[in-house]
This record gives sequence, structure tokens and C-alpha cells, in this order.
Amino acid sequence: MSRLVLQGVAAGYGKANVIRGIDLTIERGRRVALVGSNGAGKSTIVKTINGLLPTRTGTVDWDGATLGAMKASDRTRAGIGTVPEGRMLFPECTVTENLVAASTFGAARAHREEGLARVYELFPRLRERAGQRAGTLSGGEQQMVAIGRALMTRPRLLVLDEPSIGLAPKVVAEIFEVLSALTREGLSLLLVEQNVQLSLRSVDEAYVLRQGEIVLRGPAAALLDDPQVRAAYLGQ
Amino acid sequence: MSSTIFLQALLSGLTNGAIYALVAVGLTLVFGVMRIVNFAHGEFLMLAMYGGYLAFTFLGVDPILAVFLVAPVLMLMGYLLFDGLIRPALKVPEINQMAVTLGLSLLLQYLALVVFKADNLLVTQERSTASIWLGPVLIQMPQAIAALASVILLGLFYLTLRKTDLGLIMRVVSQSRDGAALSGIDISGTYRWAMAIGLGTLGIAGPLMVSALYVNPHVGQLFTLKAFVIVIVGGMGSFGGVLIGALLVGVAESLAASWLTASVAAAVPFALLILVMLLRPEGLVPAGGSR
Repeated sequence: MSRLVLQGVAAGYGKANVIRGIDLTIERGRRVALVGSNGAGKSTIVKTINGLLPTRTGTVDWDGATLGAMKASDRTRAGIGTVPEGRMLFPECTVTENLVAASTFGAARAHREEGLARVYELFPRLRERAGQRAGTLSGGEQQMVAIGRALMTRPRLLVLDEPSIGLAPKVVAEIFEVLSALTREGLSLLLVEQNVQLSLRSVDEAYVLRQGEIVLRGPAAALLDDPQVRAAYLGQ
Repeated sequence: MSSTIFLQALLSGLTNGAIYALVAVGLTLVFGVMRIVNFAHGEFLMLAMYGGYLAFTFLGVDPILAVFLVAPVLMLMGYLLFDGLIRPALKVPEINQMAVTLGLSLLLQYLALVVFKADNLLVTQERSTASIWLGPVLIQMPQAIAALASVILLGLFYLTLRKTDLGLIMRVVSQSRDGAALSGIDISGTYRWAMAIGLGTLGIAGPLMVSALYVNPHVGQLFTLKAFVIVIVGGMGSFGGVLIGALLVGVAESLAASWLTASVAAAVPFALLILVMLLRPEGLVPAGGSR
């Protein structure tokens, strides 16, 4: 249960495949990073997992069953939460409304109050901004809303697409602290980052993506020491 | 112009405006949620008016009660329309979507012409000629009933949008479709409800309006156009904008009719549209502002 397996996944837009032959496994409770430079296909992989983009070949399995053509909303309901690139918040709605909107089904609805209390406990700054429109918040606060919204759906796997982009180091540290607290409670994590150093320090294992293909995988600590990775991504 | 005539024109303008708002709010809901421009909106109003007329003529049902028959039928039509026509149309470019709803508009008009002929029909009851004095001014009973029902329904509609999960779902889908899907919201289901409610409001407006206004197969066209003017003047997709736009159009028409002539009044909404487009192209209440 709660195991995500991608096998031989290819996907893309128009005629060309952006990603090819992607094999990736996230065991329950594991923290996995997907790193690579801009345009390597990281967000494309995220979209084949959360259902915003169909796979062309290969399979995505979750909880032991192939997801196939399952809609994005059903994947969310099945426990795959996404903090998407660009956040995709509801800018005219208040912070609370953004969070509540992610709890309109099944168990998430039944535990709505509990979920809200939890998110506000994790991000006390959001509690202060509860009645404010999301579009008026700072970038860091918006990212917190996006994470909080994903948590409201009661995910077992949380997929984060570039959560640190454009944020001040202090805010990034705050967000990563919350993420590590969540994973201690058994949440699995797929962290997609351009910031290789930061993500390798926050996860158990990592995949390196180059031009749509996975070129390296291994324990995060080993990759941090890998001369190839250091040269290509850490500028050392 | 004497102040009594002015007040009379203002009152009848506000009454008409309230009814216009009820017609336009469904159009703005469908556009706001689905980004579909439904040119056949007025034709569904026309069908609802015929529904009210038939219920009265053949079943003896009072138009007020006919609302409870016709509104569910229109909701069902919205539901079926979504799956039968709009859902496939969502996959094609916008210009083709417009062709689809425009084609539906003409199709429904000519089908209505076949079934109902071109006669002008009206529900006439005892209260049709009754009227109420409000101080120095007079309001016709059928108009008063329709306007009052509009105000109540718009209130309910507003509360639904602001206070219920369904309302929240529709608001967030209109702001970010992918963001909503990733929040576990079924997008197609939301579209279907928006269409059902959007046409359902016409099922309420139609039977009440057929006591005050003749129905014929082409009556919908004028209302589609006016609803568009209202929605654009108000700011596409904004609820507050629809209210302001509708009252503005109603009052402007009515004042023009009493100052000038009825034919000038008919041109007023479109003059207003052009004026707003030139001076404030985002509409009076942009969708971002008052949701």
C-alpha cells in the first residue's frame, strides 16, 4: 500500500515526448527527490503522476493498481496530493476557502475542521491571514497555502513541484522544516527541485533527470558525494 | 418631465432590471465556470416561457406554481445539454464552440416555430390586469411578482455561491481548473451542475415572465442579447456586476422610453454596451473585484 511505481513512462506535448522510459519507485514513507536542470522534464513526470497529463507508454501504479486514464481529481482523492508548479491557488478566495475547497469529498470532508486546525498549526502565519484573499499574500505565504491545500486532501504521498522557487532562504527553511515534520509521521514525499543541494539534503533517495531520461539514481548522501553530480549540479 | 413620471419610469426600470438579472445570472455562471459562451441561453428561456404557458393552458397550473414543474425540466435539459453537446464541444477551439451554441440557438427557434407556430402567446388571469400603488407610482401585478421572485432567487443564488460547498466549488473551478482538480474536485461534474443551475434559473424566470410578456419562438434572441450586454457591462463572470449591469440596463431603457420613444429605448442597451467597452473595457465590476 501507498507505493508509487512508474514503469517505462513516456509522455509529452504535441508530437515530441518530453520524458522517455522513466522508471521510478517511491516506497511508503520514503522521501525521494527528482532533480535536474530546467527543461529536463521534471514537471512532466509530476503531471503523469497526478493525472494532469496522460502517459503515452508505460504505467503508473499506486496502491498496487494501475492508474491508467484515472482523472486528476480521482488521483487526489486516492491519496496523491500535489503542490503544483506555479501553485494554482484560487486568488480571489480567502486562505480558508482555498483550504476548504480541497476537502469537499469523502474522508477529507469528514475531517475538515481537524485538517484546518492542523494546517494552521503547521503554518501559524496562515491563521493570521485566514480571511485574506490568497492573491494578496506574499510568495512564501502562497506556497504555504498550496502545501496546506494539498494536506487538506489527506494525501499519503505528497508531490511538490519546485516548492522553493523564488522564495527567501528563511521561508524555504521554514517550509522544509514542516515537510520533514510531515514525513516523520509517515507521509511519502516526491520533491522536485532545481535546487539540487537543498533537495539532496532533505531526502533519502534521489533521481537525476537529464533531457527526459533518468541518468542516475541512488541514496541522497551518495549522490551528494558523486563527482559527476557535484560537477554538473553543484558547481563544484 | 414631472417627478411622478420619473419615479414611474425608475420603478418599472428597476422591475425589469431585476428580471433581466435573473436571466443574465445563469449566463454568467456558465461562462464563469466553463468559459463557454452559450448563445442558446435565450432559447431556453423561450422554452421555459412556453412551459409556463402550456402548464397554465392545459393543466390549469398557476404560473407561480408552474415554476416548480418547469425549473426541474430546465435543470434536466442543462444536465443533458452538457453531456450531449457541451462536453464534446469543450475539446474544440472556442470559435467552434460558439458555432455550436449559435447553431443550437437557431435550431431551437425553428423547432419551436414548427411546434408552437409563430403566434404570440400570453398567460392572462384575473390578476394580470391588477396593479399595486406604491405611493404615487403604479406597478403591474405580473411584473411585481416576477421582480419579487427574482430578488428572492438572486439572494438564494448568492448565498449558495458564498455559503455552500457547491458554491465554493464553482467559484474555485472558475479561478483555476487544474488547481481545483488537484483539490479533488470533479471538473466535469461541476460543469454539469453549472449548466443545470444556469438553465434552471431560466426555468424559474420563464413561467413568471409569460404572464407579463408575449412568448413567440424568437423571444429568446432579444434576451440573449440583453443578457450579453448585462454580463459584459457588469464585467464577465462577476455576480455583483450582473446585478448592477441588469439594473442599469433596465433603468436606462425605461427612462429612454419615457423621455424619448420606445424605439430609442430598444437601442439603449447596445449604446450602453459600446460606451462601456470604449471607456471601461473590463466592465463596471471586473470579475476579480467583487466575487
